[in-house]
Amino acid sequence: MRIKKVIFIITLLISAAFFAPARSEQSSAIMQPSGSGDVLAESALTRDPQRLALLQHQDAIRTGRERPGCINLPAVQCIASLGTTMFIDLTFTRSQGQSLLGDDPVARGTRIRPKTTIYINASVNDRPYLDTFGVTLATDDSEYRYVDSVIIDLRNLTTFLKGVSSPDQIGNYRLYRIFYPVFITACPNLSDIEFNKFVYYNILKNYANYGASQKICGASIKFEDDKFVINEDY
Amino acid sequence: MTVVGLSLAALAGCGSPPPPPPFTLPPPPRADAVVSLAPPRQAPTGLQLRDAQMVYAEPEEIKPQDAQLSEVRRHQGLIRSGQEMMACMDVPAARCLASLATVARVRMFPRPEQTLFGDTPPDLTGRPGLASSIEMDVLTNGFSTHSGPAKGTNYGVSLVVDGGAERNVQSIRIMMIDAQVRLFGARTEEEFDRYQIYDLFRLIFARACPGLDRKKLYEFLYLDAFDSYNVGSSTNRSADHVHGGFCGYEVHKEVDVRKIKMNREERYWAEKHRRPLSEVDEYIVIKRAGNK
Repeated sequence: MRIKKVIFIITLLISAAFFAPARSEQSSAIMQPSGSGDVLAESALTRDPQRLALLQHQDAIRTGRERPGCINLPAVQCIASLGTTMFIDLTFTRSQGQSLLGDDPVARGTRIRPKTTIYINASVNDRPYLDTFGVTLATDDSEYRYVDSVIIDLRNLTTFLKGVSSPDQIGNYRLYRIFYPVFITACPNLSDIEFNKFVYYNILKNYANYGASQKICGASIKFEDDKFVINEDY
Repeated sequence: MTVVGLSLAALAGCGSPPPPPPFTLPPPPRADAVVSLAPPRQAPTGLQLRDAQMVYAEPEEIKPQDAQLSEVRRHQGLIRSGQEMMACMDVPAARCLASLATVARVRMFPRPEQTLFGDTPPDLTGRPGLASSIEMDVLTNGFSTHSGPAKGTNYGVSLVVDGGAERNVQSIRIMMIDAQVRLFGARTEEEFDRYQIYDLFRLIFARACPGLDRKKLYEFLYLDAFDSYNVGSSTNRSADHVHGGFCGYEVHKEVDVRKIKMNREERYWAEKHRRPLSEVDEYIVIKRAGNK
């Protein structure tokens, strides 16, 4: 009797596992250009030229016609590149009827005032809005918004990141996936082990020169104000 | 046991879909992939005025009919077509502005009642208020020192002009905006290249030293003009060597130190927290040699 009861419970468990809805994990990072927040229909801007450019860059990067990258490249290309390894959310930038890169709507007869700081929420988790961190692109004010620097703020994870005690533990934070699109063109052979060692020894545990710029892959990184700041390396 | 087997068999057809594959990095780009679909980055050039793009301005504040602006445009055309050389010292201010706007992005902010150079309309005695210096922002374009894409460096430039009809440039003052400490602390050729100061000096010495050698300029700036022992040393000259003398002009680093006004409590707080007690402005001044 007891055995039958146990078997019944096991069966219940198994069937529950089978009938449960599939986990909605994304197998790859996706872009969310139309935003998921409260966006009015008229502010969806389906013909926004910046969004069309973003789709073009995404398409070119996916098919291998264009190299991913950020520094000194257009902001839309940088966003498309980040989207190859991360979930990118631009809702914050364009929550009030702005264009994709955050330009305010203009009055008739006046010119666009370009936004030169683009705030992005990003996540390496396969589902959105878990461990969300901030990526800020500082750009120039030209038509293409060429990226001057990329600032990565790990927010809550920073506290834990500063407590790591070996390069292997850096891997838990998936920093390689965050930085991969920025460095891959200059260093196609940069491995995650190498990169984790760089972050551990040159940035986090560099007590002699804490916060100083460190050069890697044609760029310089510094850990400033608990944020990673990536600049062009002259 | 049979129950379990039955239930497994029954569920085989309608089980959940297989779990998604784990994340993999995207495949590398093709061998013939381009760096970017967009054109390569290059710092912009040209003359930009206060307009709706930069600050909120009324359309009537933008003066396309300004005589000084059309004079600058004329010089730009002459330079572009090769009929005039780029120059800055001892030439009309319009020509210097046009030269700067050819190799850099120049931004000017004349107020609505002013002309391009900053002259104010006639006062009650009928005399126009002539500006003694023309202020502008210059964003250098790294093409003379950088082969690839480069971020420009922003300098504040003021042209000190005379009161004549031509408004000839008497001396030039370059304020560090982006490169405040770093240019004066530069030690290597790469560091001097980085701030693109050559772009400005090439124009300034265009008539006295055509084809100015970049390394020679850096050596002069490093050893002579920026050397802290020579700061403000115009009284301290010998017969064979004038400190800061270069191409017939004098180049000096000048330092303005202003005390920040604070009351007793603020001063106590600033000292306790090691906040600055004074503001320091450093700039480069270029003027004709022998002109006190």
